[in-house]
Formats: sequence, structure tokens, C-alpha cells
Amino acid sequence: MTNNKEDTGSSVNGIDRREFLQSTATVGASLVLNPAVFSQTGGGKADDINVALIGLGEQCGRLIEAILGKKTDHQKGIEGIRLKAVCDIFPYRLKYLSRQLQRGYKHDANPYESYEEMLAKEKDLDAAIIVTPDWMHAPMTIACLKAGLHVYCEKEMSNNLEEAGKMVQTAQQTGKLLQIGHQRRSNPRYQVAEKLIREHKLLGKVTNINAQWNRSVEKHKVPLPAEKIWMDKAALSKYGYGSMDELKNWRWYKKYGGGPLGDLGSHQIDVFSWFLGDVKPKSVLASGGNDYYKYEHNENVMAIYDYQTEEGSVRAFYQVLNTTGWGTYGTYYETFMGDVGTLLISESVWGEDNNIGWAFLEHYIKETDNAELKNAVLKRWNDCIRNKLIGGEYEMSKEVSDGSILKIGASIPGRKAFHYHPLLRKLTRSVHQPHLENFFDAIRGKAKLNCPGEVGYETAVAVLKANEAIEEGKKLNFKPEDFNPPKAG
Amino acid sequence: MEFTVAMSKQKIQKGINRRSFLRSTAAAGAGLVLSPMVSGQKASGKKVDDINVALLGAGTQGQVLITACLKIPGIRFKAVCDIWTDFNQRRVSRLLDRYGHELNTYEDYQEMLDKEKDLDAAIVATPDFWHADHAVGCLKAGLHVYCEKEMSNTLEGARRIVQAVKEADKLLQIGHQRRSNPRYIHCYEKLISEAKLLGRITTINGQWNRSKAACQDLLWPEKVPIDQATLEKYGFKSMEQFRNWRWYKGLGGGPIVDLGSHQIDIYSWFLDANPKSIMASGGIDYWKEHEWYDNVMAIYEYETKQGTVRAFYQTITTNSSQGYYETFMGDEGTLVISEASGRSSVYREPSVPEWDKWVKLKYLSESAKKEEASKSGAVLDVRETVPVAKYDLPVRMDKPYHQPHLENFFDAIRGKAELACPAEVGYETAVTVLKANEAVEAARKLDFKSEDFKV
Repeated sequence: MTNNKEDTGSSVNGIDRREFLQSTATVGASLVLNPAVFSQTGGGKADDINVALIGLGEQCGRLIEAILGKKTDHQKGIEGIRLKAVCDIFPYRLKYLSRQLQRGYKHDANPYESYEEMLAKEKDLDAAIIVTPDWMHAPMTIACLKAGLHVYCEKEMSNNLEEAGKMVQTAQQTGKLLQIGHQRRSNPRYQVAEKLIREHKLLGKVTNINAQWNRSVEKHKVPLPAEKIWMDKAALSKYGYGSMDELKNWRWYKKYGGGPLGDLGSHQIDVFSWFLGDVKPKSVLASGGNDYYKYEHNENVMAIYDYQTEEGSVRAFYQVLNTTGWGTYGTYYETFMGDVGTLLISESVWGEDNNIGWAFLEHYIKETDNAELKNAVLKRWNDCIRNKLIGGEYEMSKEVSDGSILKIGASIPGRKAFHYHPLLRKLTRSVHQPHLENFFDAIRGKAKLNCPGEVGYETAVAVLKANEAIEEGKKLNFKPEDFNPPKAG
Repeated sequence: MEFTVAMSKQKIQKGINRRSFLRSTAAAGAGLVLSPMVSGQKASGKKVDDINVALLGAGTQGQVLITACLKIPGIRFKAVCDIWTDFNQRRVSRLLDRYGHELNTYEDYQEMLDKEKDLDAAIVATPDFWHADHAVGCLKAGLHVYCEKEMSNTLEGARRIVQAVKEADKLLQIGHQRRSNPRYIHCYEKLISEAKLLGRITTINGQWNRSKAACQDLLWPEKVPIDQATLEKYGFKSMEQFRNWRWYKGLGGGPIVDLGSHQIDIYSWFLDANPKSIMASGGIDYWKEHEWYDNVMAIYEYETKQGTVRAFYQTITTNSSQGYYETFMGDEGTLVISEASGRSSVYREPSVPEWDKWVKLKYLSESAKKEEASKSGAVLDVRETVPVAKYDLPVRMDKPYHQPHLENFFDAIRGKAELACPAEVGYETAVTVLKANEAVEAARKLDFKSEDFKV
């Protein structure tokens, strides 16, 4: 870091900027930079990051809004990000997106059909964001890392563990950053929830987890675009797809993705391990089927993971449905249950500022004759209230006047037996923005990655095993070494 | 008892008439509906269709059943049997005494059956491992039997009961009381079978989450223990085991059998099917001194006429989050129901047209909560706020949970009803539920064959 001063003193051209970012992105660097250090030249700052977007589908739209902001919602973007190149095999989407970036955001991004061509031609890129179907994650990530780029890769890391392992190896070999898109890891609400469980021991001893993502029939597939803009057979097959449906609804095909469990489940099963203190599951048991739609992947899956933490056994149930969209608290959420309390959280929002997140205190704590227990538990809860991590006990009388809360409270059976405390930390920005910010901050040496390749790999191991467990019809055990990516040979 | 002896001759005479009357009416499946006028009232104030009942097992559950029975007209408790003479037996006989029941108390059920010749029915609320002996003994003595679930802690025991019912030609009701609950009946008959409001059911979730406080070991007043010889005579090693039999192998089946069997019974009922497989995970995770699993998660697979259904069930003993309920999910709607009163809702999936017609027909009612919310003027963001429209059940059940099921049993004895949960049904549920413990052990998917469900 000794040459920092020289860098900032020199005129800022692309190469200096890249060197600068390279020197700061050392993994684990704790350096905090003062933004004032950088002189501005030609509208670009020394720590501006030049980014390529690879894969311009539905998910990419969300990431663009997270990066550049969303005017309709008065959402601010992330400072200092320049989209320099966009890449997609679907010409219509490529044209549409690059025009939108130009008109809406004044970003001149060069369009490419082939990512290899893009990497060959674009010499001023710092980072790539990969939002393609899962099966392309590994080749694209590896090529980008080798081309000297930092990579933000959407989850599931890969639909193939061997490929996922190579991604981790390449990141290690190139010394570039690889962030996997389990964005809850950077969500401040989830970060607080993790602290409530781990540090503040709000739930006591955690014994069970339940989570679900229930999706209704009408939401299970992406509608195809108008036929006149479809890619022809030859163009599709050049990139490995048999039809427009395979391209747009790749998530349902085994070749391209891991199915709904990989798609939706991986976000939530990732949180299981995280909230338990980075404990990996020791076994999985699962049931699933595709008899409703008869697609390649199972539309409905139920999985039971067993964990062994320092405190004891934890059993976790996860369910993903594509035939019903109902859920007690919206359609997707995670519930952590302990012997003194429960924490329920969802990435979802009900209304503008109404993030779904509650802590429930077990009723017996209020009534127990065991004064020592009662005082100890109530002290922990009261500390969290005082520190504004959770709200005070929720009063039922508020329900009638506050419709939004009513909706949540009303659907909980037996709610009178619970003592509710809302989680106070809110996230009203795009749910992807903090995770992307973390990635860019890490490039600038200001942060550590919240979900590096190694962590993404562990989650991929846990999640992909469930599909295997369905096939096998038995409990499959994990060995600790299963979670380590194979070393480069 | 002097009074009883003095009355005995007259009672026997009357009893026989009454018993033969009840016998003629209780023919299984009889569609006969009796007019109350037919059974004239005798001088003593007793009707010809009064039913003389013995209670076997006067513990907590026995007391729950008695309390429900006390609200049902025409039920006379004549005998109470419990090995804890100084506590359970005394407590229940005093209670019944206050309600004017003239009864004899017994420690031993055989002695009771030998001596009591005017009984019509027995209610068996003893620990699971005694159910087979008690139910079979009563059936052989010519009594109709209401037997608490789980029918037995072993399939062999459950089979003995089914056989004995056939041989004795008596009625046997298993205590899955939701089968007689008008709220559950409405859901099954009207919403699921007739209106098909859920569309194709693909998924079930159910749970019974109990707090740590509710799962503490049961104690007993130290002054009134059962002596060791008596405990051992009846299969208990200690007072501790007697009180907490549900946790012991060989005596009960643990929470999955205890609590789960009520709810898993509903899965099969509502689906009109028995499961084809089960897998389960569980362990002695928290209550290390127990023999049975305190934490069980099970996944059943059903094959129905409409297709595959996956059903999750969980029973935990460390956290009471959301208590107990069953949720049936279909491609058009979701039903959430719990035995706990007032806890039921029906949700319409977003793509399904309004259910106004069903509201008019009183199959559903508009959710009161919905109206309150709109009156309060709170407008919610619709992006993810209200994923599905909510409706309520128009049916209430204000009686004690067990009352309708006991009524159904007594009505069946009187020839006025068919049993809601006869031996064959109880057996199917026992097969389904007991397999969960086996599946935990096996750590793999266990298949059911259709013949497994038949005796």
C-alpha cells in the first residue's frame, strides 16, 4: 500500500485506476480510504469501477436498478460505477438494455453477443457481474477472473459442484474477488437478525428452523416474448439452447439450472448455516416431484437438514412450492426457533417500510417461577429493545388502527400466546444493493466480501445435495471435507 | 354402597331391558333414527336409552373426557378404574359424585368387568401400552368402547383390538376427536369434497410446537404415591415412569405419536388416501433423559386420484411458535385449520376468480379482519402485501373439543349415528403414525403397501 500516494498524485487514466483498485482489493484488507484523496479527471474518479454486465435477463434488470438507482421509486444508485459493456446472446435484449442504459442513465455500454469477444476487446474493465443461467456461471466467471476482473456471480454458483470448485480455485489463483449473489448476507436486517441470535442469544438455544418459498401457479414461469423477436434455432443452438423456452425458462431444465430448490432454496438454506454460526449441515433428507407440470426439475420439494452446533442438534425444514403461493407471512420467510424465543424474517416487504421481521418471546418466560431464568432472559430482550434492535412488546390494540400490522398479526394462529417485538432495522432500498455495494467496497479495499466463493461453494454443496437425496430416498450425510472445494491440481 | 345394594335387583331388571334395547339399536351401520318419545321415562328418572359407562384411566385425559361427558344427557358413570387409587381415582369419583353419579371404584379392570354387570360402554384413557388389553377386555365383556388414541403403541396391539371388535360385534371408537368436530367436517365435506375450493391439493404442512415449559416432566404429590408393587404389577418401573409414560419406549410413542397422530389422521381423512411412503428425521435432542424423540420432522407422500401430495409434519418440544394447526395447500386455495377454536382461514390463490358464490351459500364467510382493515382506511402496498384473499369458516364449535366425538360414540350406541372413527380407521392411522418412529431409525424412505393398512 506504500505506492498509494504516488497513484493518487498521478493523472488518472484507466491503467492507473486499475492498478489502484488492484492494490486495494487485497482480500482481507482493512484499509479505510478517505474519498477526498482522489482527484477527479474527466468525470471519473480514481476509484470509479468499470463494470461489464453479462446476462441481461429478468434478474439483471433488478441488479441494474440496484446499481444505478430507480427514478420512479426515488432510489439512489451506487456511486462511482460505470457500466462499460453489456453482453447477451439474445440480440433483442442486448439492444434494448444498452439503449435503456444510454437513455435512462447516460451509460455508454458497448454491446456484445459473446463474452469472450467482450473480454478480448474491453481492456478497461475492473469487474464483471454475471447474471446468466447457472450452467454458464463457471466458464464465464473463470474467464473473467483470468482476464483480471473481479466477479459478482449470481447464485446458484453453478449447477455442477465440480465447476463451482473450479470457480473458487480460479479466484484463489488470480487473487481476484469473487462474490456470490446470496444477497441476504449483506442485508442490514439480516445482519442484525444474525447478531440477535448469535451475540444477544435472543432465542436461547436454537433447536429448529422452518423456511419456505411458496409460489403460485401463475408465477411459476416467465412468459415468452413476442414470437417475432425470438432467436432462431441456429442462433439458440450455437449457445446450447434447444428453444426459446429453454433460454427464458432455463430454471426448469436440468442442463441449465438446479430447479426451484437451487433457485429459491439456496438463498434461504444459505441463511440457515450463517445464522447457526457458519455451521454446515450434517445430513439431508428430501422429497420432491415433478408430477404437476412434468418439467425436468421438481416443482415442489421438501427437505430436512440436520445440524450439530456447539449448543446441540438443530433440525431445519425447507419447502419450495410452485403450486401454491400462500404463506402465513407473505410467501417466503425463514423462522428460527429456540427455547426462549422465535425470530421470523423475510427479505420481502409488505408495504413501503414494512419489512417482515419479528421476534417472539416464549410466553412461559413471563410466567415462570424461576426468577433467575426470567431475569436473565428478560434482560437480554430489554437490552435489545434499549439498543433499538427490536421494538417494545407489540400491543394488540394497535392492530385495529394499523392495517399493515393487522395483516401480519391476524394470520398468526394463537397470537395471544406470543409476545411480539418487531425487528426495527429496515431496508427500503433494493435488496440487492447492499450486496453489490459490499462487492464494490471490497474492490476498493474498504470491506471484506460477505459471500466469497468459498461460502457460495458451501451453500451449493448443501443445496445440490438435496436433489441427490430425493433421488436416493434416504438420509445423505455430509462429511466436513465435502464443503471444501478441491485444491487446484 | 348400601343404597346400591338395595337398588340392585330392580336395577338389574331394568338394566337388562335397557341393555337389550341398546344392543338392538347399536347394530353397526344401522340407519335407524329413534324418536325420543319411543323411550318412555321410568319412575327413577332414567330413560331406556341411558348409557352406563365405566372409565378406565382417570388421569388428565380421563378427566378431560369426563368433563365433556358431563355435558351429554343420558350418560351415567357406574365405575371408575385407576391404579392411582389415592389420587386419580379419588379425585374423579368425588367429581362424579358431585354430579350425582353412583359409581364403584376399582384398581383392577378385570375385577371391574367381573363385578359390574350393568355396563354398556367403557371409556379407555389409560397409557397407550394398556389400550389393547383394556379395549379387548371390555369388548369381550360385551361393552362398546371409546378408546383414546394412539390405539396402541404396537401394531400387534392395534390388530388385537380390530379382531376383538369383529368377534364381539361391538362398537369401538378411537379418540381422534377432530373427526367429529363440525368445523373439520365442514372443511372436508363442503370445502374440499363438494366445492373443491382448494383445487388440486399438492401439499400439507402441520405442526404441534410446544414450549419447553409445557414439556417438563410431570411430578406427583409425594404424600400419595402408588406403592412399588402395584406399579410393577401394572408395568411401570417407577412413579416417574407412571407419570411420564408418554416418553418411554414400550409404554408410549413420544410426541410424534401423541400429538402427531391427531393431525396426521386428518391428512389421510381429507385426502381420502393412506400415505405411500414416509421419511423422517428426529432425535433425543433436548430432553436427554427421555427415551423417545423430542424433535421430529416427517415427510409423507400420498398418491391421490388428483396426483401426488407431500405432507410435512413437525412436533417440537422446545418452542411454541404458532402452536398447532394443519394447512392444506392446493393450486386454487389454502385451508389453515386448528382444533384450537377460531383458528381457521381459507385463502384464495391470486389467479382464482372471486368466491362470492360460496360466501352466499355460507360455505365461507368474508373475513371480519378484512373489513376492519378497510374501515380503518389503511391502504397497503399491493406488490407483495396481500398475496391471497382471506376468508373465514362460518362454522363454530363452542363445546369442549372431545364432546362431539363422545356424542357420536353414544349416538352410535343408540343407533342414531355411524361412528366417526371406527377401529379400522384408527388402525390405518396407527400404521401411518407408528412408522414415523421407525423411519427416524431407518434414516431412509419407508414405503407403505396397501395391505399394511388392513388387518
